[in-house]
Amino acid sequence: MRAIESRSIIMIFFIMFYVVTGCKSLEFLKSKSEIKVRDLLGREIVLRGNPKRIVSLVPSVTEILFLLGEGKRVVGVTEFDDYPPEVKNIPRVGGFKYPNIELVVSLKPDVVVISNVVGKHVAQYFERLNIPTLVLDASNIDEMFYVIETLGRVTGRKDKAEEIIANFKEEIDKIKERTKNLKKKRVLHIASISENFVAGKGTFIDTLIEIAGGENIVDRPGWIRLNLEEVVRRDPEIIITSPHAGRIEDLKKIPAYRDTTAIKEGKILILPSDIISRPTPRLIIALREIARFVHPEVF
Amino acid sequence: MIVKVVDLYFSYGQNEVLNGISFNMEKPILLGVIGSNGSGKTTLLRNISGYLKPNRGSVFLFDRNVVDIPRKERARLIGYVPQDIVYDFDFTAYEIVMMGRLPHLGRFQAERKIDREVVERSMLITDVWHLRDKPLRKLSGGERQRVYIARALSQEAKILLMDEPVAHLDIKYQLEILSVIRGLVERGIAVIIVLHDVNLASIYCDEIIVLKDGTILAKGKPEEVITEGVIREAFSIDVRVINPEDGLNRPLVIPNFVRKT
Amino acid sequence: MYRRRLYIFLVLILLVFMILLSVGIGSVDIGFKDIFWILVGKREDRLRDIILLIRLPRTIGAAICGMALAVVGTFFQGLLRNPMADPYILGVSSGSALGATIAIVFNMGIVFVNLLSFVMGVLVTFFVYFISSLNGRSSTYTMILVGVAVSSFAFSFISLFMFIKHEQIAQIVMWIMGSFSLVGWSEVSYSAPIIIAGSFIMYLFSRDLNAIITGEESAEHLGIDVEVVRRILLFTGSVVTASCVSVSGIVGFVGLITPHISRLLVGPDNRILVPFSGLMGGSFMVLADILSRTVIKPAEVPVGVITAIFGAPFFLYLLMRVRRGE
Repeated sequence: MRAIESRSIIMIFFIMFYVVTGCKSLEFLKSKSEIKVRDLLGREIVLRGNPKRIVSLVPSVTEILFLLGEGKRVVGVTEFDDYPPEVKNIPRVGGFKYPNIELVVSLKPDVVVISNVVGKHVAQYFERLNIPTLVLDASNIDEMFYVIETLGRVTGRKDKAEEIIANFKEEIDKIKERTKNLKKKRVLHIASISENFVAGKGTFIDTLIEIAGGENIVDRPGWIRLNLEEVVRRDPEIIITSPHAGRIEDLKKIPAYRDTTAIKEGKILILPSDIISRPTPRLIIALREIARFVHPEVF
Repeated sequence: MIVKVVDLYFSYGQNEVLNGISFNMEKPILLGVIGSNGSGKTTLLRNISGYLKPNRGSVFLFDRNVVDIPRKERARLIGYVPQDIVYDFDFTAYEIVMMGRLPHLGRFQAERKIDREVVERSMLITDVWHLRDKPLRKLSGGERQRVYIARALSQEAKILLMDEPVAHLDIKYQLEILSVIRGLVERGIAVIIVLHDVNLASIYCDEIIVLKDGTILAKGKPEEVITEGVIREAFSIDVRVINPEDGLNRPLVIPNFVRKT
Repeated sequence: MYRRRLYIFLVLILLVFMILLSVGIGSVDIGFKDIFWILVGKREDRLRDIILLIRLPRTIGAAICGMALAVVGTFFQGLLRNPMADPYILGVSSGSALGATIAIVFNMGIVFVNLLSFVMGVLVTFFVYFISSLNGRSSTYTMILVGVAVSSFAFSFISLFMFIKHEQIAQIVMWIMGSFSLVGWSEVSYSAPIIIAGSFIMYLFSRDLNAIITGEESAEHLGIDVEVVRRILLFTGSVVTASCVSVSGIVGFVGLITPHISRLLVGPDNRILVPFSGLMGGSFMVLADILSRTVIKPAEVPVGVITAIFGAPFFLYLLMRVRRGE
């Protein structure tokens, strides 16, 4: 009697021991697979493992995810997502500026990526529903690298991400090499003709212009409304714009522009706005076009 | 002493309106207050009701200083019928008169049987009970006035103050209301009434106070007060005072013109 | 008298119906039966999250805000003796909007957006009241004018912010135009107690307000301390309005029109008018929220736009009716 009793007790102890350590190790494993991410607003977000379902409210992020080969994780996009073509089949959940909260939640995402324009409080709303949210809209090249690297880490494609970044940097260096001793040409990028909205220092297009051997005539940072007097004073030699911005005929009618070198010599480069304003590796295409246009003698 | 006013002074800012008013009312009578515009009639009424506080002097109601009586208790002592009757709302006559019971109700207290009885009685006295479910807007000027008097009555106040209650009414309603008011005085309610019409004051009031520049020019029975001299001083006009010989002893004021015969 | 009770019962049913409808309609339409089972806790699928975490708090938030605005509108119209008065008349809306703008522009997050808009809304009201009572008794006329002036001033700052920080214009405008899309349980949990307590406090003064409507001097002579009642009603009303605005942004016309409609149905006695108005306002607001989500599915029209589109013509109609009646 007593022997059986004591043996059962020992067995029970052993079972409990295994159970407890088993649980503990499961926990340990789980915590191992936690991914800590810092987004572009500096918020520290913890993801539970690689997110299998991502809602991307930033078209450039969608593009990058596909580039990394992880497009299959994307379960929801904005109306403005259009690249790559496969994106057509992904459900839309609203615009860039304002997502339909319900639709996003009904897709049961593991993480939602939003832009700064949508705002911190939308991010907090999702987080209250236990949906981690990352603000990942890059506003310059370095931030773009950070986004690519972060997305790579989060989807387990660190290597691919590094490869993409390396290629990009290599292209940049190659072009820089060829333009570094050339005389800089004065360049202006117009985003909207009717409001004279132009790209200032630090924007993507500004960086591309610099790399391509040009000089942005706009000194101030960010996207600004340029004073027409500045246009006359600085006399751009090259104007870059896109179909979105308006009609070139309208631009030529504006007196301040009519007498600029760029208009007089017809040096107007029109690029689709996608490739010059979206922080994705497709910027390279824009870069090559710009370099070719600014310094046709070399490219 | 029902009302005792002692050396009352009141100014609106720099504007001195009442300059030393004193009088008593021992028994419930109909006391008329007359005087030219700006002589301080409405202001006097407001000081007596406690709505305004005197700068100097005091008002005593039933031997208590008005300013010492808490607002709600004051409302149980004095009913006030204002000069401009407001009626651009949809309250019925009954609802208006029931408001007169507010001084008797606690904040959370609903209307009781006694309140309904008092309201009915007040409306019967002023003959507006049959109009009780009509919105005030739809009543005639005289009827509206009687509703407001009924409201003051339902406060069960012992003193009623009325500011020109018949100013814009047809003569039919003027006489109607004044006889209602006389009826109230007969029931033992003291009434102080500001009147525009000197003759109406003479006919209906037991005593009259004549105000000029914030002081009492004359006080007493109509036959004592309504004289050519007093009227000339109070209103700056020469008049003739006639005494109808039918035993009423109420002098009447008529314009002073020489009849060409 | 019994007709009034019937109306209150009817409008209560209306409110409940609206709430159920609102919980059922959205990106995914959910039937009443499903709603019932989810509320009772027997379903665990993705619909449950949508209903319990998104739609229910949103709907309740809308109902409570609608009720608050209608109740405050009723009181302010009576107190200020102005049929065109609404809860925002003392500048609460501009103060709240300014607070929210500042919080948005400096990226302070949800909690601060709500907090700052609430605090600034109340502060502006105090300021308006203080300025208009500088020369003795505060006349309602003065208060309205000062409210208008302060509003313009606040909005000019908002425009300035919008100009300087134009990346956030969309957010600011979205907030100002009013929306219940980001109302979760935490918003409801802090605003509902304030609104309910405030409305109840105001309701206690219904009888006093009845008397004040017949004339302030008359009311004083009935034993009411008009100045104190005014202060309490204005302060409480503004706090209630501010907490509403901090949750949903500026939603107009509900507080303006609901009292008029209610008055036509149940009469001027505030003891009945106020609860009726509240229930009616809640129903309107929930309906407006439903419309805001459905007219251009899946995008949302801000609730303030919906109330304005339907409210403004209706208000003009009411105005014509009132003028004809004069």
